[in-house]
Amino acid sequence: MEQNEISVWDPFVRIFHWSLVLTFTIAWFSGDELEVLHINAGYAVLGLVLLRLVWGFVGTHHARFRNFVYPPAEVKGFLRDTLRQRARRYLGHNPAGGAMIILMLMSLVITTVTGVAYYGIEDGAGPLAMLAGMPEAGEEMLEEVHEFFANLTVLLVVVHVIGVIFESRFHHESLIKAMLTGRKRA
Amino acid sequence: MNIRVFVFSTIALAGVTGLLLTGVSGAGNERGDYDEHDGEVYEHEAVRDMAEQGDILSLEQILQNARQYRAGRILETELEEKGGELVYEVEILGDKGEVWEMKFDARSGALLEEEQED
Repeated sequence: MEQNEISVWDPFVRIFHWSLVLTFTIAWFSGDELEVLHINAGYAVLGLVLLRLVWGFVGTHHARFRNFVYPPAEVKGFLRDTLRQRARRYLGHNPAGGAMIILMLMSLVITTVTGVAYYGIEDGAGPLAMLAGMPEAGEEMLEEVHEFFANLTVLLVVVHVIGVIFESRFHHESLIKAMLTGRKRA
Repeated sequence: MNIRVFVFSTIALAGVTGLLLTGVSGAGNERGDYDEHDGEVYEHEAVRDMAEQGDILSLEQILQNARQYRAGRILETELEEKGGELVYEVEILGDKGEVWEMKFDARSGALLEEEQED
């Protein structure tokens, strides 16, 4: 470890982050064509998100929700400061980054749960197989909601990546590298 | 590394790897004779035999049926078991280039569902 660098992101957070990138990407691209792969990638996304939600309460310092969920006013303030180029640097997630994590997790929960429910109704399989035979209107609505939130997640990811690049430039440090090594300048 | 970090990391890695390997191996035989997640997908020979024995309507009868609902080129047909029922899936290319997926009850020939694919 270089001098003046400290450990910020624990191994679980990093494995979670990059596994989620991989599994969500696979689920996204296999959506229409490769059903088996899509469903398994979706289960992996759901499992990762559930683990992350638990880790948000029992995990290491910077992984806990209480350490990166800020009141909306503070998120707004941070974004305003960012536009004026005087936002301060945070060692863990900054308020906007924290809010983005919450949005992405919620969007992914809705996407995966409606996916599992749709699979149950449509094919009578999976953990929600007991939903088979529900009215067709419900099935179509689930499909629409599933697709909407999958698309919303992609949109959030784009904004997240833009935020990361912007923040990395502004504070002259690679946040991408930090998410790989877990370490940041102290 | 503390024990909680280790446990969570191991579960995450093992889970992701396991599910993806299942998905990758399952996806390989997607057009094969058995699709573990979607009930059985039947081979042409099996479909013909079942139709000859009178268990289900033949593909020809289903296609005739499908054409009454929608004109266009047939892109794909499949006999599949869904939730314990045998279902014919027929994909038809519409005149604006759109793809319609129709599902028919394999025994009665009744149209169960029709939707435009996106």
